[in-house]
Amino acid sequence: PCRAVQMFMKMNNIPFDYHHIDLAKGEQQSEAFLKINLFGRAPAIKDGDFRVAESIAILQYLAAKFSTPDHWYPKDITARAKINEYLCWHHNNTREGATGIFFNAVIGPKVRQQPRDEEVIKTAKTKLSATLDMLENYFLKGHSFIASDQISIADLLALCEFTQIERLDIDVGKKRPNVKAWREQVIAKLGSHFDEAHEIIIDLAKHLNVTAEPFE
Amino acid sequence: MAKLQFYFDPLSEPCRSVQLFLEANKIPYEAKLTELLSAETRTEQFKKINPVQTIPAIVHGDFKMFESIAILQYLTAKFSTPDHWYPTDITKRARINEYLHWHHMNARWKGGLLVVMKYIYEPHFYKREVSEEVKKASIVALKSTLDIFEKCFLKDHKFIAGDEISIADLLAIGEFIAPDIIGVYVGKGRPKVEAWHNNIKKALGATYDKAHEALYHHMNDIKNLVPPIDY
Repeated sequence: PCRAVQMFMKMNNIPFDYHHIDLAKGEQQSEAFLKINLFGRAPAIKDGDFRVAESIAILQYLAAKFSTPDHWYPKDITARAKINEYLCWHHNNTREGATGIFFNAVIGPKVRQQPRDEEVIKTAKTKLSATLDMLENYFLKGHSFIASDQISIADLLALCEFTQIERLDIDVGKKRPNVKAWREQVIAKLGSHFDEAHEIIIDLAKHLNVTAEPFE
Repeated sequence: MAKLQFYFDPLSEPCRSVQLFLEANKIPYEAKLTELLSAETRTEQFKKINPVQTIPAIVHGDFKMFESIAILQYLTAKFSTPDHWYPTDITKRARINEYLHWHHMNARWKGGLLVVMKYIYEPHFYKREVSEEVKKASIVALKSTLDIFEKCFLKDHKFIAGDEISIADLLAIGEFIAPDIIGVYVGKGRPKVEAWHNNIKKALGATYDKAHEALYHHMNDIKNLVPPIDY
């Protein structure tokens, strides 16, 4: 979610001061950060005196505040409704599946020294598979991007979940041509901003010696 | 404008939230009762309405959609409902959006639904074994979620967004009131939550009672299944 917000701001030339919050060190729970975001989660923004948490709420705020090009979060009622439909579905599907795998296969064992819970990983993989089927057959059906013919905040959020598990050699487009084409188009649109935002996750994977995770 | 078709089950928390909104705003709709416990969402026919096979879902002319929060956002725009439901002011809307997105993985999945699933539906309707430990953990999760809800959202306000009711309140109360049917009332020991609940009931009047009729009627069906809970 942090990468999604970062790329959105870069794509739209929204100037910002970057404050690194070290999640591995638990900095999100520090007293200083809790004054920024009571929930103690990243990302968070502070725009003057106004603070916003939750990546999707932040993206919706930025799109309105900075009057970004309409395609990012269209004003048309039905176009917006379809993007909102994805944004809601995202939490319990894309995020739960992809981050479920990453968290339990990488962060748990390699950062928090917790044993792998194979049942939890298996459930996350099942969720991811169902998620990718829905993307392939519904959200991307007849569209180049999620529920739209142009890139939006929905694509940024989804892409960031998948690029994370690519570190485990999980190729979300392997058996799903719509997903494959979508992924390539979003990355192409983002250009250097994509590479910049993902440097850190590539470095992290190398540093943690992350290995391939089976996924069909 | 075509008449809205509303696919719902009054026992479903997000369905009640949308129903409350439709009724409070007198938006005419065709009620399409789709019963979860009879697996009516699993039919091929319903799959044509919603490929994800969840409720609530709406059909509005040629337009179909699912996800309760997205539906509420659509309805506020399409029917130009009073601004307080989902304010157009950027900062007021951001505050509500913060709640809406926190809601999914917190109030919805670590709230009232978790408790009713573990105590009622999984053991008695879906015939899955649920240990006492897992049941008790659901109450712990609910309390933790309520702590965050009070501290980060409700604070000292009458409603989540401030002085006026919004779609955030309808979603939150939908989830939090669910376990009341087994004696787990979220306002117990939490005067701010109780006051907030009363504010909602007052703001919605008879609409609130009507939307909850089926839930409290259902209490009669399940009262002998669940022993008293220490809450």
